[in-house]
Amino acid sequence: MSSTLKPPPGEIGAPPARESARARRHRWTARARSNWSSKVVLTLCAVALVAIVVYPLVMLFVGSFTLGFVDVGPENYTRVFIDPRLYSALRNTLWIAIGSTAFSIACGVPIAWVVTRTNVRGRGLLKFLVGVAFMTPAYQGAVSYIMLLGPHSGYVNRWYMSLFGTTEGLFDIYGMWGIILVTTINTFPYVVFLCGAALASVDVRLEDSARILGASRFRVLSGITWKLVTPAVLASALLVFVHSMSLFGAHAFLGMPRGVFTLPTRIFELFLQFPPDYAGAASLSMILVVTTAVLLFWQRRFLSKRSYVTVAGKTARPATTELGRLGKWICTFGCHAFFTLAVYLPVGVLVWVSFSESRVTASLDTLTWTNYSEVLFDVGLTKRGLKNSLMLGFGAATVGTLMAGLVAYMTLRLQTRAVRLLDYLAMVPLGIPGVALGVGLILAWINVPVPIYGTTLILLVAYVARTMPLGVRAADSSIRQIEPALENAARVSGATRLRSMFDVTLPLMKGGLLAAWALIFMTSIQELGATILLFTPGNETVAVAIFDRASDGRMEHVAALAVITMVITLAVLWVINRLSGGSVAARIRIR
Amino acid sequence: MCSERILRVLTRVVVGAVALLVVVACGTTQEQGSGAPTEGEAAGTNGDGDAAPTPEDDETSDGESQDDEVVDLSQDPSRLDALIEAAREEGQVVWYTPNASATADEVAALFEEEYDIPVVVHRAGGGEILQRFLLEADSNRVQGDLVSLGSDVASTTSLVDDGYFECNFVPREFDNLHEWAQGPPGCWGGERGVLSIIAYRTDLLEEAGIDPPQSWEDLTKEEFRGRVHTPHPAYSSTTRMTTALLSDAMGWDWYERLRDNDAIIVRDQAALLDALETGEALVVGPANHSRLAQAKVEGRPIEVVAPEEGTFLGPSPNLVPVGAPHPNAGMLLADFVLTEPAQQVYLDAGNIAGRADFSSPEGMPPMDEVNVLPVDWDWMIEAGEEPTNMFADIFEVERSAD
Repeated sequence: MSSTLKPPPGEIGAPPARESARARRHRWTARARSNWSSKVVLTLCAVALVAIVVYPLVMLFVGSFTLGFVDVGPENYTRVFIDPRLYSALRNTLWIAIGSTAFSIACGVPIAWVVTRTNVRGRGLLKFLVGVAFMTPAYQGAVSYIMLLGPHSGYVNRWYMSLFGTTEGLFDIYGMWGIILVTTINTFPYVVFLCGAALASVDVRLEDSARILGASRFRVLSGITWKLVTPAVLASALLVFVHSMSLFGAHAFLGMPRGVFTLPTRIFELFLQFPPDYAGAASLSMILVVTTAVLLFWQRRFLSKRSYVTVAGKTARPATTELGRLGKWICTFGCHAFFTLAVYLPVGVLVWVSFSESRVTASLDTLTWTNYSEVLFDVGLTKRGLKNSLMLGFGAATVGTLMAGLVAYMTLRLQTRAVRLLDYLAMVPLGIPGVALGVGLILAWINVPVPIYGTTLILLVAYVARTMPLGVRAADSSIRQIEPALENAARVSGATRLRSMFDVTLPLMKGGLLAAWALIFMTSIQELGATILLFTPGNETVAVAIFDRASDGRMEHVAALAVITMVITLAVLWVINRLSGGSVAARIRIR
Repeated sequence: MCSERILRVLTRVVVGAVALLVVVACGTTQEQGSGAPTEGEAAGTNGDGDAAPTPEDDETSDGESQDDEVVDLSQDPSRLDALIEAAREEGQVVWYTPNASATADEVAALFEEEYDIPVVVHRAGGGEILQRFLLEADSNRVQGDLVSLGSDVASTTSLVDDGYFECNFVPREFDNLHEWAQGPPGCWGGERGVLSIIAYRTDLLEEAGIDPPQSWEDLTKEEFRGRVHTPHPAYSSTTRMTTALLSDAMGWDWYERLRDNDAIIVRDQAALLDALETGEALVVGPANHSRLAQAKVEGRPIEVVAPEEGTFLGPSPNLVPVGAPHPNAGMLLADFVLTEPAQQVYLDAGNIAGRADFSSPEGMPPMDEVNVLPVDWDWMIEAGEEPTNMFADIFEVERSAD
């Protein structure tokens, strides 16, 4: 049956003469409608993606040539490439990315396995801790760790010095290792989220067959389970690698003191100089964009060689590895040792400071609520910030998830070149520093007659753009595991492409989509780089408020705001989880 | 097989890099071909070809209109009523200011009380304001009615020269300002001054038996090794100005000695106060005086010193941009920030008042004892990013090469 066949006009809804004719006609209309509707959706999605993600970046690129206040000299684009500062910055950035990726995978994959596939007790707590680590922005992690491990002033070092009567601290958080530590804490949750999702949906019968055929437990793990989660490991490694290259906050707080300058700090400096060097900053941003594209391309090629379909219609029950007493003990100890570094200490120190009058002289006798009451009731900026951030978080997460789901779906199911390009486009923002995206967005929307610039909408657009890669990756790795045959079955039975997508694939993707929603929500609520350029009076976010308090030297307020944000975020996620009948946590899928 | 894959990936990376460079090179040559003649045009007109006058185009006409249209309230205070009237008609005023948010809000509240005109305060760092203002101005969508870029007089002056700001208003109190706070007549008056100082922890130095630092030179002493925190000039305009000035007064070898003394580079002023309060740093400098002097007044064991060799004092100009939506209200606010109640707010917040008839802020050495280095703004504009780049060479490239 050719897809060019058109149904006779007026046929839809006409009373059927014969049963077989009715069925035939129905198929025709379905096929025709399916092509039409999927094309419309595809086009709409592409237009939205281009408007939100591509257009601002093009404007940034164009603007770097035409912005009037810079003397655009011929050497402008190449100049930054012959600057020796670039090469030391590139070298540092690369080491940070490699180190953080290695550590994130090394810590994230075992944690994902423990949480999804073992009978270790307290998995709920571990899940929760991963979430807490994820919702702590890297700059906050850096601030916490300076409070803990500052060579002369950190709580740990002061305790060590008073214990041993020395004047030199034990640890020094500044420098390359400090950046890698803080970055890893910020990025390993990607690995746990994505690999946890994959591990949870691995078809147990594959593993069972291997066991029956006599493979050892380790052999099953390395030969089957590991192979099946490879796409997720690769996807998360890609995310971590590029993301860790662009974490300006951690680099500036921890690297700069020891002369470790990186690509983001270099880009930031080019923006801040007078006149701003957009050409230089844009061309340096291109390095990150190209890295993202190359890695993505490589990942594609690697994945295209094999099939990773594991959800194929028949029930795959969740399997747990029964660990012995020793195994449980080792897993629990290992996880909590890691979370001491990742969550207990940095979050603990924030909570402690948030209740202190002054973090320097803080003691149990001087604990106080005043920071919270000031932040919540006295300062208008922080109140507005909390409200706006919540609204924007909800909006960006909902819009972003919808778009990300569609993009991921189309990439995998409509294997056309145009669609694959969409997928690349959706990943580009991963390599764009927030400040660059901010400039692009201003240039893009300032003269468009639609009231976006100067309103809260521009922040929404910024967050959707910034978090698009996260959403698409999360949705993508869950679609990858769904057998197209399920959907084809629906279509053979007469459903349109849209219908089969909504009735079959979407429910199966629900976990991945909810994970995307949560990722986008948590990321948007802490976004600072673009926000600081785009906010206008009245629509400040909580990140702006934190920045404001920090530049005023009120770290106690900063800590209180950070704790409040964390509690609110957790509450929102908990409510969402309850509303959907407990399936989110299961399908954010750290089961 | 594995190495084969790595090879393939490497090839792709190289091809990608080459492609990027080709693109870059193409862009460059294109620019070379067409850039030079259109440069003047490109300035300001950016993509929006319609009739709205661009700052660049306005330069000459503005220069003419300056002479006959200057509203000089210092000579002719009676024009104030007309200005108030016009400002009320405009309905509101948008103020881009790098003031601390509490200070800006307080001044705004006083203004609203006085004139019954609502103030929308857009508070951000000087660098962010500059970014935003330039992008808005170049898109002919100026949103601010009164814009302050902090102590970055060099950028402000170049923007005045390029016609981004109106220079047709002299506030009532202009003649009462300190000399350093008086901009070109009709262009701006500085609301407050920021002084670059050295600050140290009194208790920790006493404990260690170290003499308090009195000069920039003291920061390179062995006893402060690894315990001096100094801000990066790229992230704060006051630091940028100070670095340029000190590179001239102290020479770059002072910075080299500072690096050899393991000085810690921090991003911004907030980090300096933080380092001092926690005891991470024994000494910080060059630092903006206001928050540190405030901390001293609040009873923290911190002392503020104006270095013997002399230092930078920067005014904070307020200007009305060309194309401001509420220019009269902007002028009225520019006038108001120099009046007594507003100046008192600045002083109470630890700033040096722009007006000469106010005392030095609490916690600071008296201003007449401070050795303020004279600033040649033309030289400063000429130097541009050079001092920042030199600083970066010393602290980034050379340090990481060690």
